[in-house]
Amino acid sequence: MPIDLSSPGGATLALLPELVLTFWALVVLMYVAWHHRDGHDMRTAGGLSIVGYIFAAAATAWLAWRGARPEGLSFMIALDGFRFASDALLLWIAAAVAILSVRWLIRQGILAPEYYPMLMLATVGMMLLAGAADLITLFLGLEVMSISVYVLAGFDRTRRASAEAALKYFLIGAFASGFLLYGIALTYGATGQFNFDLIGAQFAATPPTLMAKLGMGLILVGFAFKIAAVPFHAWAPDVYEGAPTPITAFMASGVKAAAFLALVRVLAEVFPALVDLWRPVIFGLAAITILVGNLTALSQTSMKRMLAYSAIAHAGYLLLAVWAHSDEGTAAVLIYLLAYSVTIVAAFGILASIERAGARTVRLTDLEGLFSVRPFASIGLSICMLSLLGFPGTFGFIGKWYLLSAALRAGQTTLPVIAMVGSAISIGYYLPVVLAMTLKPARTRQAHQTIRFPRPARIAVGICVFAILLLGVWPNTVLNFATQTAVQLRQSELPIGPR
Amino acid sequence: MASNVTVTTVIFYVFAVWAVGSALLCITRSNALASALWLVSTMFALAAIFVILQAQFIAAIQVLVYAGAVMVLFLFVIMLLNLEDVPHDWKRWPAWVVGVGLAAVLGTTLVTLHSYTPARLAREVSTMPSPVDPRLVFPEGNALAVATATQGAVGSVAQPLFQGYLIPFEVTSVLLLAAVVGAVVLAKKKL
Repeated sequence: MPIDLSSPGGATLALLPELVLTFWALVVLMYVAWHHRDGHDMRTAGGLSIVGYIFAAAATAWLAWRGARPEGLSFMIALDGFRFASDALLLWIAAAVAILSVRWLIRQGILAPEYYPMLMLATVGMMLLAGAADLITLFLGLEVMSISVYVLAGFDRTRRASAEAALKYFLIGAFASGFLLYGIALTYGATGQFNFDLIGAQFAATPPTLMAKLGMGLILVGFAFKIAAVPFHAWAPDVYEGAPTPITAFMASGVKAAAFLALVRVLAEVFPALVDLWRPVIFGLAAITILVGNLTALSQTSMKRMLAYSAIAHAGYLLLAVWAHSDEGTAAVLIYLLAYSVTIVAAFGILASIERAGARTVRLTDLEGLFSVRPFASIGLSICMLSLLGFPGTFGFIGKWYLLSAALRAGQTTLPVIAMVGSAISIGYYLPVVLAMTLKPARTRQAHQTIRFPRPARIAVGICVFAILLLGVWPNTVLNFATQTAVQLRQSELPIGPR
Repeated sequence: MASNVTVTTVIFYVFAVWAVGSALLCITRSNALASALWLVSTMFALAAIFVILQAQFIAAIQVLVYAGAVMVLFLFVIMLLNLEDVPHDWKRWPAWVVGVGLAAVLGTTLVTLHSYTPARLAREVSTMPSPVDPRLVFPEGNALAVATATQGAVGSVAQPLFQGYLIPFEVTSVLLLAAVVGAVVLAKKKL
C-alpha cells in the first residue's frame, strides 16, 4: 500500500499508531481530570491506558499487514519494517510498565493518575524518535519523550531522591539535547536538508565538509548521553536509583531502546557514507562502556544501582551491533532489545514487589533467604539474572550471540573479545544475587513478610519469565521476523546525481 | 558603501540600535519590572525589522503575542512574586569571563556571517548534488518578497507551516501538552 506522505491524508495514515495513542492519552487525561481521588481512579486510568497501547499496536499491525510503504520520498516519518518492529517493541514495554505500576503506585501512596497519560505521551515520543525520517521529527520525538520522562522520574514528589533524580535527568537531558540540536543545525548547514534520504544521498555523492563531520560528531554525543554510554553515563545511576521503580524499568528498557533504534536508523540512512569516520568512535565508546559499566557494577550493594551500571554495560554490548553496520547488526539490535526489555521488566517487577512502602532501596542483603519464603519470586529473579548474564538456555544468550556474530561477520574481533571479558566480569555481580537468595538463610523470621505481589504484576512478570525461557530455547519465529522483515530500513530510490 | 545607503538601510539601523540598546537596558536594570518593559521595547524594534524584511504577518504576530500576551504574563508573575530590587554584583569575575567569552564567540560568528550573503550561500550549495533546487533552500534575498506577492503575507507563512512542516508542527503541540501536564503534576501542592 503506497502512501503519499506529503499529502495530509497520507501523513495521517502513516502516523496512525502515534495518532491513536495521542488521542487515547487525551481521553485518559480527560478522565483523570475529574477522577483523581483514590486507588480506584488510579486503577481505572491504568487500565484505560493499557487499552490505548493495544489500539496503537493494532494500528501498527494493520499498517504492517497492508504493507505500507512511502510513495516517493520518505517524508518526515519512515514507513518500513524497522519502524513497525520498533513501534511494537516500544508499545509492549510501555504496556508492561503500566501493568507493573498499577498496584505499586497505590501501595507507595503516589495517588496521581496523571502518571498514565504522561507514560503514553512518553511512548508517543519514543515511537516518533524511532520512526523519524527527518531530523526535525527526530528532535521533536526525542523532546516529547524526554520531557515526559523527566516528569515521570520525579513523580514520587514526597521523596527527595525522586526530585533529585528528576532534576539531574532534566539538566543532563537538556545539555544532551543541546548537543544533538547543534549537530542537527550543522548537518543542515552542510547539506541544506533535513530529510534522512536526501542528506544520505548528498554525502554519498560529495565528500562531506568539516561542518558535516562536526555535525555528525555532535549528533553522536547527543545519542551517547541518551543511551548512557561511557563517558556520558554519569547521570544514569543516580537517576535510575531515585526514580520510581517501574519508571526505572521504563528508562532502562524503553528510553534506551528508542534511542538505540533511532541511532541505528540515523547511522544507516544519514551517515552511511561516513562509516569510516564514525566506526572508530563507536568502537571506543563500546569498549570503554562495556569495561567501565561492568567493573563499576561489581562494587554496588543497592540492587537498582547495580542494575543501572549493568544497563550501561548492556548499552556497550548493543554498540557492537551498531558498529557492524549491516542487516545482521540491525536484526541483532532488535533481538537484543527485545531480550533485554523482557528481562529488565521482569527483574524490576520482582524488585518493585519486594520494596516496602517507605524505605525503598532494595539491597543485596535484603534478598537473603528469599527462596525459602517466596520460591517463585526468587526463581524468577534468578532467571532474569542469568538472562542478563547471557547464560545458555535463556533469551539473553540468544541476543548476545547475535550481537557477537554480527560484529564478527563485519570483520571485528577485538570488540567481541572485550564483550566476552565484560560478560565474564558480570558473573561477579549477577551470581551473588542468585546465591544470596538461595544459599543464605533469611536474616530474621519476619524477613520477606512485607512482600506484596499483586496479581497483574504477577501475571506480567510470569509471562516475561516464561518468554525468557521459551525464546531461549525456541527463538526461531522472532529470529526469522527480525532478520527478514524488521531489518528493512528503506533504501533511497531517488535519482540523485550531480546537478 | 555610501552609494548603497537607502532609506531602508537607515531605518534598519535606527531599529537595530533601538533593539540592541533596549536589550542591554533590559539585562542591566535592577528592577524586574523595568527589565520587562525594556523587553517590550526590544520586541517592538524587532517587529519593525520584520516589516523591513517583508514579513508583515510575523511582525504583527510578534507585537500581538510577544509584546502583548507573553509580556502581560511576565508582568503578572513579577508582580505576584513581589520581587525586590537586587543590586547587581559587578565584582564576580567568573560571570565576566563567561560573558565576555560568549560575546567574543558570537561576535566572531557575526563578522564571519557578514561576508555570507544569501547569493553566496546559494552559489556554494549549488555545487552540491541535490534533488531539490538549491535556490529553494537558500533563497537569494528576495524569495520572501516573491512569496508574499504571490501568496500574501499570511499564505507565505501558512504554506510551509501547515503543509511542508505539518507533522513537526503537530508534534510540537503534543510536546507542549506534555510539558504543561508535567509542570502541573510536579508543581501543584495538592493533586
